[in-house]
Amino acid sequence: MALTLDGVGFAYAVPAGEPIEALRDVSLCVEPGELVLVLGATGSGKSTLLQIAAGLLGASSGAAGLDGEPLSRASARGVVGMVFQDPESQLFADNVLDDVAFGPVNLGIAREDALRRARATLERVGLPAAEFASRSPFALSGGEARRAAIAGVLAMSPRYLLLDEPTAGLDARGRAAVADIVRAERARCGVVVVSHSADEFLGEADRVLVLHGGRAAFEGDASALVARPDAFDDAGLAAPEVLRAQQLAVMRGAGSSDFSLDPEQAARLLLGARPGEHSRERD
Amino acid sequence: MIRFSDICYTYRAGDMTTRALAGVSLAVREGEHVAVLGANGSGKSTLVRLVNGLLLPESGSVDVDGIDSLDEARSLELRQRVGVVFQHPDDQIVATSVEDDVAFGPENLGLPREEVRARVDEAISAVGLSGLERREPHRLSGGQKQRLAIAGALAMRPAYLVLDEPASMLDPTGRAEVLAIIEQLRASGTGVLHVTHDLADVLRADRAAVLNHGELVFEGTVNRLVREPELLEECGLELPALSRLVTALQAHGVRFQGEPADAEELVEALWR
Repeated sequence: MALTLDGVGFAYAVPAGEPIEALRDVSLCVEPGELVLVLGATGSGKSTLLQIAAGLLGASSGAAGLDGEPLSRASARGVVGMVFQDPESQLFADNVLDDVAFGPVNLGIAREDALRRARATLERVGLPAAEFASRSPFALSGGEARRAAIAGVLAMSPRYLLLDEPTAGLDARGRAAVADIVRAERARCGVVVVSHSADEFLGEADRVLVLHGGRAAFEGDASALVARPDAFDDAGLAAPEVLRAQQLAVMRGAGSSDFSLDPEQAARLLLGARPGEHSRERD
Repeated sequence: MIRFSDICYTYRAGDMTTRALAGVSLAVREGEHVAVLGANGSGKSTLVRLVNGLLLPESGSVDVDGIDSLDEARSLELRQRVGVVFQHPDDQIVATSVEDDVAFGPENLGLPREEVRARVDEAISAVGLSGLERREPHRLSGGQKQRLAIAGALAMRPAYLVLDEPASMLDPTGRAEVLAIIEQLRASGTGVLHVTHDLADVLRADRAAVLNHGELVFEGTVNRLVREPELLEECGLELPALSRLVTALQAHGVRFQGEPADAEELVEALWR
């Protein structure tokens, strides 16, 4: 079982002009239980990629598959859940419970059953139904609204969950709460997180795809990306500061290039690369 | 100087009241870069709205270079001294070209055409948008839009600029652009009050103040603040990864003068 994009390309049609190529020959695979991180700067094609993976856009070339069948809008329905950027801007119902139940009701699930699911999902995202079910979605804090919007997608019990910049604009508590949801849902489904920042999920992703100008600038294990921070620069992204410090240290001195996101290991690498440390070791 | 003295502010809607600020005092001198940090709901945006009279304090006072925000006769003068830039640049852009947008404020002051032109050119150059004067604002990147919003504020030649989460909606490139402009403003003598939930954005500030549930719970150097992990946690603030690395290096006996604000500064300090 997997959601797969195999060498997909996409070109946006332009009235009376050359089509604009947003993606070329990009592949992605996520299985239930996995977390795949897609990194890219603005305009790298990452949102287009996500829309193809959600079955909302058809690829211009290449193949998209869902559990061995071709991926389409119809086959993705209820199976691939998509959380758009700023999803709270799409909250609309009179109360949080109805909003979260909207997706399952729309899938044809009986209303009572949908409401039961919505209640359970609210608990899962840390918004206890007893406290939040009857609240207006418009009276929630930014972080709560984001979680309610995510719950609306989770309530459809997707096998694959796609999230576009899920922590953007949230404060530390809000970001931590969303990261907790992503971690928990990974046990139930395959998760793809798209972001321009590697700060949040790089440490726990199974695989990373870095997009630049619509092409894959890097694809592989997160650890392989940590080992090559210049891949961030090549893609117009900022490497996490801790990696960049190690990269700069190795450029200046000698020392191991066994980069780490862990502050303690990074500190040891930096100290080992300092010129003074080497002369002391030689003495 | 911007001086908030013992400010209290409560939002009221029907029977519901929410205390947003409870006895907050804080000062920003001309040319100083002060960071105000806090999680959502800490009261930091209320502070921003109080600074130029968008909100008026329930008790206490806001004073900018001798102008009290309650003094209606001087409210225009107050707004010229303090420019405010908000989180979403789209909410602050009014015109259909970069230069018209920057000219909007000075034109409203009724300044002579040459004076407006001079101010527009100066402000556009200060934020690095020279060459894009005729560009339609909606065709700018996020970082460029926020720089345009800053240029619009600068064209009023304010003594102080108050920025509310100016970088939080931007991608890394846009964020770096905006933070670099803020650095330059300080160097040019403009006082900066930079409100954010992200400590990594203000590692270069002269001073930091932390709000938690409407109360000022910390005031001091950024350097001291990043060594207070429990306080940060309690206030819903995240310790920047770089500061965790600095702490780890200190545990190995490395001494830093001031808090390195980025990887370059950290490595530079280590090699010194």
